[in-house]
Amino acid sequence: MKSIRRVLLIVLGVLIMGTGIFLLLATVHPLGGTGLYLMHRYGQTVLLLVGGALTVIGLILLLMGIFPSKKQPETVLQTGDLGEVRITLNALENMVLRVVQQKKEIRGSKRKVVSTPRGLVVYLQVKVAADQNLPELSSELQRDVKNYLEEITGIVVSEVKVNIENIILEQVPLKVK
Amino acid sequence: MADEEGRVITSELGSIRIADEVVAVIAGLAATEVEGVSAMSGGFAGDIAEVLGRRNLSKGVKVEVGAEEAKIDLYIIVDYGNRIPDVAWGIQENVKKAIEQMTGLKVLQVNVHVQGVNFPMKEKEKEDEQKESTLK
Repeated sequence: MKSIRRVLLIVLGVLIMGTGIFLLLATVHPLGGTGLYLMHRYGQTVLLLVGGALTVIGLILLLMGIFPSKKQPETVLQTGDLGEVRITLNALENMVLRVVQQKKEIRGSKRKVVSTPRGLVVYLQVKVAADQNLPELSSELQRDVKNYLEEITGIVVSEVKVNIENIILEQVPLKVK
Repeated sequence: MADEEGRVITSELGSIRIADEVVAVIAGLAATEVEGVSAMSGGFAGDIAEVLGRRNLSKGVKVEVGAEEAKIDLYIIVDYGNRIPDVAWGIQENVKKAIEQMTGLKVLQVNVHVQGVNFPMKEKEKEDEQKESTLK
């Protein structure tokens, strides 16, 4: 069913884009009787606008057909009598960001969450302000991320791997005498 | 052309057809009533429809309707600060109750797919700032 939809989108996209290009070309160099007729009947401005719009719409449909939207990877939160509850890994990564945001010492982060049979594994790459106790900060971060995710989602977090990517030095403005 | 999909109830006086779209709208409305649900997530096509001013009540809902039963998939965004299993359980209960009450269909499954978390505005601004600083 999905492949039929894709083929239909591609065919429709090509047809609409073809019509749009034909109208655009007709404004510059009318191709045959139809082009000339359209040029005289509607004028250059209308043909340019309609042709441009059709070309864009056709291109969008064509791209939607060629590159279907990828389904975001998900993980199962719980399975009950009424059905499953799933959550995207992207949503989990945003929750990790929420925890990271609350730490003043962290100046930037990259997050990745992976679902494994043992539970979630969180990869966290952070940039930290200078003069911080790194082991203490890292273990605090690991604990907070694990507690927050487990509390909000109910999934077990098996590991939180923290990688300190860089130390950010605050720039002191130079005094000009 | 009448929509041939959906549930048909036949009686002496004639037949009643409930379209799949109707079941989807009921499910969508029941889901958004639950506390903690920020919005339905309808993907690219749903967003375009909303930009064009068409309120799509079945956005983020997929239904499979059989002769007597239905299976529902809901794609949602939750508000920050809510426990997701609790929100999902509330949705499953509310959607099942609404569909069974209004259409008489037996709801076999209500699968909830959490697609994102909605942070309050201030949090969002901070988030954007941090994303920018990460890129630099």
